[in-house]
Amino acid sequence: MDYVVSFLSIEFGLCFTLFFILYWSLCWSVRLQNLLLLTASYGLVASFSLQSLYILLGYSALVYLLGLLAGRYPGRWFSRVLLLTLVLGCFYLFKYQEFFVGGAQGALAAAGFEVSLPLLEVLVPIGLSFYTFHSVSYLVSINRRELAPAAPLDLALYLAFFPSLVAGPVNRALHMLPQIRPPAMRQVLEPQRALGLIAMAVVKLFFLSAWLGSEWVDPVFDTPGSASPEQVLLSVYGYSLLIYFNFSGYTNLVTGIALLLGFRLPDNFDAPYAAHNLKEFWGRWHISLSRFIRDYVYIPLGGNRKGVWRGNLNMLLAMLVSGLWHGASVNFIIWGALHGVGLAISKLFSQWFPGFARLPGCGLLARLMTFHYVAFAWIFFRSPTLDGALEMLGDIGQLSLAGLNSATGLMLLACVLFVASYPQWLVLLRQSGALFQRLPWQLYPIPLGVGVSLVIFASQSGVPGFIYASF
Amino acid sequence: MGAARGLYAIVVTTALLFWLNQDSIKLYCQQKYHQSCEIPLLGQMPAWRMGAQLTAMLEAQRDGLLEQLLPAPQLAEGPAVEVLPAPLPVVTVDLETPAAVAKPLPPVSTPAHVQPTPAPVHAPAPVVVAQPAPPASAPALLQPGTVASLAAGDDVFLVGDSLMQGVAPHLANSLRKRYQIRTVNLSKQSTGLAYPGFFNWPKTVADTLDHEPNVRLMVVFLGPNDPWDMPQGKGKPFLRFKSPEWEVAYRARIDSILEQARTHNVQVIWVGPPNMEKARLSTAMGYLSGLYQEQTALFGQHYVSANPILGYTDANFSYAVQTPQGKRVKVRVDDGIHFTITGQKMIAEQVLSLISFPGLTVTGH
Repeated sequence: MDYVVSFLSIEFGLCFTLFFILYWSLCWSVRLQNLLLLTASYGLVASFSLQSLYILLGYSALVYLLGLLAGRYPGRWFSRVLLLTLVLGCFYLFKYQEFFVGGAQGALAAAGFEVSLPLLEVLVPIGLSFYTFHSVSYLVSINRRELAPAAPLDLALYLAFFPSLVAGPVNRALHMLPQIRPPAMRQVLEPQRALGLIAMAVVKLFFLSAWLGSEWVDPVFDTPGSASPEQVLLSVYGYSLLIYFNFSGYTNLVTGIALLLGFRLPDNFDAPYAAHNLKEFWGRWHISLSRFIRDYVYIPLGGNRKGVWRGNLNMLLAMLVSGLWHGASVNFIIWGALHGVGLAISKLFSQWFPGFARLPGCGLLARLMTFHYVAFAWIFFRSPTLDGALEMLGDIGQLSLAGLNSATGLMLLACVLFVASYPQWLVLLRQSGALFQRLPWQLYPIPLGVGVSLVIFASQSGVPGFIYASF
Repeated sequence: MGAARGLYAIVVTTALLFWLNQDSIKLYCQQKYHQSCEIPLLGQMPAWRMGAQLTAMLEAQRDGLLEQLLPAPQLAEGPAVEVLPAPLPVVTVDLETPAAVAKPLPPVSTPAHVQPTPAPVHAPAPVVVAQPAPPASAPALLQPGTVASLAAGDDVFLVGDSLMQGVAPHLANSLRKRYQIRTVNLSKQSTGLAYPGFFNWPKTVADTLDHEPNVRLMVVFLGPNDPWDMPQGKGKPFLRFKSPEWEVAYRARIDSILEQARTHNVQVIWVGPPNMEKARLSTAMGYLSGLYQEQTALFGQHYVSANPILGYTDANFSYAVQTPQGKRVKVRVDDGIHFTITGQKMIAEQVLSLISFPGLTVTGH
């Protein structure tokens, strides 16, 4: 039962082809193109639920009014307070009500007070997590006098732009609004790379992440405790690869779609498991989000300008916010905290042993350690319950040499070797990608179509979901 | 000119994809839109069909290779299982009953005892005159209130769609932690009984029961993917949902699952789908539930509706329900079909409460 439009469905592909023809036949008028984009975006939201559309419309209107206010009185306190109220209010109402009310009721009950706090039954509107971030970028830029308030339809399109509406990337107003009002006629950007990105997405989503999910990950995470310690560790490696393939594949897909429509979305992934430390990891993983958190949470909190300990505390707070944004549960908060603490430790370590990374062999060691830290934090991210996550950690603690001497042990070794040789694979992949781009445009679609068919042929049936769409 | 080149590339790639994957696209289209999805004219041209033949050939090669590489998938677990021939509907079923699954009976031959009424929601059970056998493996030690029993070393088999996918982990966890009972969970989203070309549950059940001799209980939970017109074979018109012919074919598929359970001496708990947010779907679930209930009763197995578990007393749908402690909890997610974790756990607990575990001690948790 799937009423939800998926960007990788046959239906979407056919609709997009028609949309593409209509869109570029209007290339003489950016205004009409924008109107068409806005209609399509709203249509997509409405296909999820009409209520989501009404909320997006109401939200856009409020942001427009706040933008006018901020434009008239830039940088004034009330403008910032109203923005904070709007964003936090929306997040609370639509995403965190149950979590906070449940937590508060639990705490009061533990203290001996039985109370029933009010709880509004609302559905989470599609795209909320991302368009609220877009609105923050817009309003902060106006408050900083970097931007004049946009025309209502331009703003509406910036908030609702369909490729990045459901699961990002997070677009900055300063980057996106000029593309909505380009000085010259819009062009398809890098058509061959765009289609290559979409094909890459098919490989990552249909084949790699779907296979990892059903073979290595889901059986263990769904019923932790029923697997051997090696299988649990394999599922953790598997999930680390899966979430990368799933989310970066999704980003490839929407980046490709946006390029075909003449828009350039921000970079979101840059080989994250090649990172030597957590700071570098966050510079390579969901880049648009980590930069957003840095600029709009960490730096306003004071960043690292108020001493080492305060800086580390700010980092921890920023990561907690990031964790909570990913989901309203204790597990996500722990995940954020693990990254916050890990960042602080890795920072202290690099201050105490500044030359460590340049020692021979330490680069590889650093990469493997970073990968494992990130992988273990993912346990909390993926596990539906805290008990389940702890049970899995306990299981991994029982790893034995005898157990590793098995087929599963070999697969574990293969995973570690893959991560260890990741930079080499990356070079190979980039070279073959570049080679592929050099094919003449008349021939290009043939290897593309055959390649994608082979991938579909080798994968399980069904359209994969996008992990980030549920956040 | 970028746009024209882009369009050229999109069109050529799409055409190539459709050419090579036409058969699976057709199945997908049938399953989703409940029509035959033949492309007029082009669909029968030899040049067009060649793409499908190419893929079919590759698939046959792949399957042959896989079979060579993985000769016995069950090798890792216990003694080698004797592979039985594909089970035939042998037991005491009226021979006219369409027990064969892949090809439902042509409507002409449906005998007179089929109800001609178009929507027999709770009509008396037609078709099968199977003898109301006692539940498989007739457990002598059923505790009051339970309908099935499991002993040490027994396995539980979970069958269903995305509804079951949500409930299955909770069931499996509790069974393992409390009673050290293993589960075989094959639940798969978008599946049901209406589109065997897409996923064939009766066959999957037969294969699994053949290969898993320790399965003593099967829990089935499906329905929302089925209330549509369904294909009855190549080139034939679709059977209209709720038409007598549709009902005969659908009941036959329920029966063949129950038949497999009986052959393998497996107890069945069939969970009926609950009310849905969309009225049309919800009514259809009521209709399908009636069929599940009647057929399970005929086979002397157990049916339980998810409605009372979720606190729905009538045909109404609600996202949240009142617990006996007076707390309001959300049991359904925003799509109005699936369950929240709380809802999943409620259903899993209710199913568990129907099983007795004589001689098995509860271990913690």
